[in-house]
Amino acid sequence: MEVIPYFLSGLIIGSVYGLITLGLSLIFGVLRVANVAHGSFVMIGAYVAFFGFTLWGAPPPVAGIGALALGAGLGALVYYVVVKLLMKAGELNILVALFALGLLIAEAARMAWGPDFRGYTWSIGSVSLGGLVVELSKAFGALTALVTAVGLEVFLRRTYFGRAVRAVVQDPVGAQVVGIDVERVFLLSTAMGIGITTLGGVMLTLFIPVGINPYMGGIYTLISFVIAVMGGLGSIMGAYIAGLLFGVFQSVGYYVFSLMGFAQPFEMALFLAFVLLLLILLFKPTGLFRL
Amino acid sequence: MLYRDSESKLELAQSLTESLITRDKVHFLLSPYGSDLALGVSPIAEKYGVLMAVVGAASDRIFQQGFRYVMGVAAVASQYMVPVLDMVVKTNPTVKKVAILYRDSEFNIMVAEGAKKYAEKLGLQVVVYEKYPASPQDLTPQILKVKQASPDIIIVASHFADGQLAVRQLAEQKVDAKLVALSVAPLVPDFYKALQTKAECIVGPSHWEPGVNYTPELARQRGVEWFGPTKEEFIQYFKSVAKQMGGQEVDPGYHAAWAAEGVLAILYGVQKAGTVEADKVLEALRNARFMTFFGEFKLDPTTNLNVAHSMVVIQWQGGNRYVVWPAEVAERKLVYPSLTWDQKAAGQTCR
Repeated sequence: MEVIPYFLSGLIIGSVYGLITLGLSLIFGVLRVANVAHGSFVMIGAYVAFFGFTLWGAPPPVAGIGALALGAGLGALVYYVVVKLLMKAGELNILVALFALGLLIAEAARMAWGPDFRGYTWSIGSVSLGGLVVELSKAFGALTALVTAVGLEVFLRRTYFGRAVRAVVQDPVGAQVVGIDVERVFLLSTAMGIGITTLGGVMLTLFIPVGINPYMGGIYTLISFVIAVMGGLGSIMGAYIAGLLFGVFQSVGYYVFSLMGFAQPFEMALFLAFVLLLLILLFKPTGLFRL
Repeated sequence: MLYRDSESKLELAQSLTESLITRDKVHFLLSPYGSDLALGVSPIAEKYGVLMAVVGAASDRIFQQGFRYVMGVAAVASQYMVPVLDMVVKTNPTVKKVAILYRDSEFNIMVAEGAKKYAEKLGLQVVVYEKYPASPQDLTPQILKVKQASPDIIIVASHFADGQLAVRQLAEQKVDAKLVALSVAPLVPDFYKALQTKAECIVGPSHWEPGVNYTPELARQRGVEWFGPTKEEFIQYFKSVAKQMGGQEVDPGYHAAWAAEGVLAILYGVQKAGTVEADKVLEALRNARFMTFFGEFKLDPTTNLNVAHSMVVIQWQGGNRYVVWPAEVAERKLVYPSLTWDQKAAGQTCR
């Protein structure tokens, strides 16, 4: 079966796409805010991995924990400085402010770290699986994504705070009436969302060994929005599964279109991924996994 | 000399070009880096009749627009893989199958198209000819396709980051070929630093290398005029400037030499014409044939391209890059076939 290695490679990259999307989906679900600065936080995570590894020899698992903490701190800051201040001004103002923040972060990164592409290599061996040589570092990235998605879902379903988050998602006013500190939920959700996004940035560097650059975030904002909408904005497992689907669709789609021999397969696969998105929105506007 | 940072943004490059011409009243321009940007600012140079030497940009399309004031000083993108393919066929006439992967950008598309046409002209079979995104996260699907086609030669019309990604993923999936050639990426010193032994035996076309010898003596032998500094003087000058700017004495790469050739060509034209008037400088250049440390210069009046310049091929051997083609200017002999990825992983070098 020639298609198996394409399927597996799609699953692995798709898992990390899913991880990168979790934060975006969580923040939208809770605050109804589309974080258009998303890609810039992915970029920050990537730089944490790069500097962690090259300056202190910290492997990506350690950098991942650092990035999660740093991202959570930045998330809290973003909440107080942008989201909370502009909450009353309306969603559009927050959107514009976040857009500006994303540009500001990218430009600040360029001034601080320069415009060059950077990268590092964390090599821990490889295994052969179904005709595909899988680098264990990439498998680690994919596994981290899975554990984070499942962990976050369990957290939201089983803990008091998680239930409070879900209550706020369903009805913010009702949640407030029954004594839930809605502002605290907003704050922690933004912190968690951006923390997970920077963690995603760390795991992404295992796939793009030399693609770390101040402007790398833009494409991930786009990909994450597509995946989040496919999975249903606000749905955690929906975002993760849609990430897997997106990865598999890209990779297997490439294989199928290259067999057909017309047009460029990667362009066709991407084109059809967007057609699929449109169809989903047409027949199930809330996304695949949102009720 | 005025410098402006385009930040690799087309809109910015265009407005800076316009302001250099209209506000700063420059007489000549060197193009921004990258074919997309150079192509984007060309109409502005043309509109104001300011002669622009295209340096660091090589797409054929820049020179297919019929612009009078846009001048190329080195080989164009479609010619990049020509010396590589010549070298392969002369070294191993039995070679048959070529796989070509290319990045979805102006310059790389031209490199790939040129490589495909020339490979077919040489009677080779192009078994894979696939485009990949400009900023790829994963090239596994493309690499798997190359693996299934088991080509003799793999050509990647890459830029820097994607070129490194391609090499890593070829190594990951253990796609062995007799030779792997890339554009741009292997010419950058960081290529080896990032890839270590994975970079061994990889070849790439270059406009100029410190090992290439164009000298006043050679100019005399060929009966052409010599102009500008010698190679040693250029390298020394570049190193001292680099030290002033960045604190490190780095060797010049071909991009620096290419930019210097742009300046030298304009200077030569100005000296011959005795004026800074673009038409007269252009006329003087069209009637001239001279040699600099970069190579020969002969401007074709229809295409505005330097048709006398030829590229060389480098190969990474034992952690250094050496000119291996053409034979008359080569510093080392080409190592062919290449080491396998397993041999490279075991620490073997290409000597």
